[in-house]
Amino acid sequence: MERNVYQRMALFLSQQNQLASGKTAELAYGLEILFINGMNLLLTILIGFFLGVLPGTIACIIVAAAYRHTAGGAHSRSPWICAIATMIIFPTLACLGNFLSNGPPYYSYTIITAAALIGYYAVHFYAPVDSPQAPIISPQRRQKLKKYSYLVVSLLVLSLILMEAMTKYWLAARGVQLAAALTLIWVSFNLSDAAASFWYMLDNQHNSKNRR
Amino acid sequence: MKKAFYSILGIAVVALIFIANVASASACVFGHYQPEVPESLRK
Repeated sequence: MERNVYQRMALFLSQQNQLASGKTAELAYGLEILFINGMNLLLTILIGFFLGVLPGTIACIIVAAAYRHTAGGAHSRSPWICAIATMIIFPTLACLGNFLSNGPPYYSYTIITAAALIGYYAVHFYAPVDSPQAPIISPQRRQKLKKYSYLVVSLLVLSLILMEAMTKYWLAARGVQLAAALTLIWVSFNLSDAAASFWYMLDNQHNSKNRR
Repeated sequence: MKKAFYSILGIAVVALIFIANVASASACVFGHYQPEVPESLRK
């Protein structure tokens, strides 16, 4: 049986600690989660820093992590596509938030209202969205995740509203607020069927290029 | 030295199993890629 690098590392760790065979798979999963998400986070923050939108990028990451934790969403089958998409999407949303913050205040009010409405709509009709790699088996767990998704969206919308007060004291606050609102819209889109088709199309594009 | 190495390995194992359990309890971790969840952690 061919093992990937995470499985080999997990096997070494479980042999050294004399763990049961079932724990090796859990260790490999933990290693994969830690490595992929760690690299994604680090590279996305670096790109945000070099583009001069670090606070906005961090806000995008926090919103996406909190929202996707309970609501889930569409996924790519390739860790490379995921890494590239994450590195492009979050700093872009932060730049877009920064750019829109120079416009009149009704821009931000419209975007925040749209984010709240789209967020609640997506949670009501789609959340939680699982994947074949991580299926949600129990109906109770599904129900619980849906309730938590409502709670997370409510907290995020409340934070967006409260951030309005910060715009008087912190110059970048408006940009960060808009970046967070745009991320809320992006993650809500990721719950829809259109997002599943979008990621499927990206995966297939990648695979057809590899075959050539 | 060897003892310290084995203690670090033990801590790493505990931390990784904790991460795996937390990750499997959520609908999605953060990124747009989801590794295969082991059967023992599916719920």
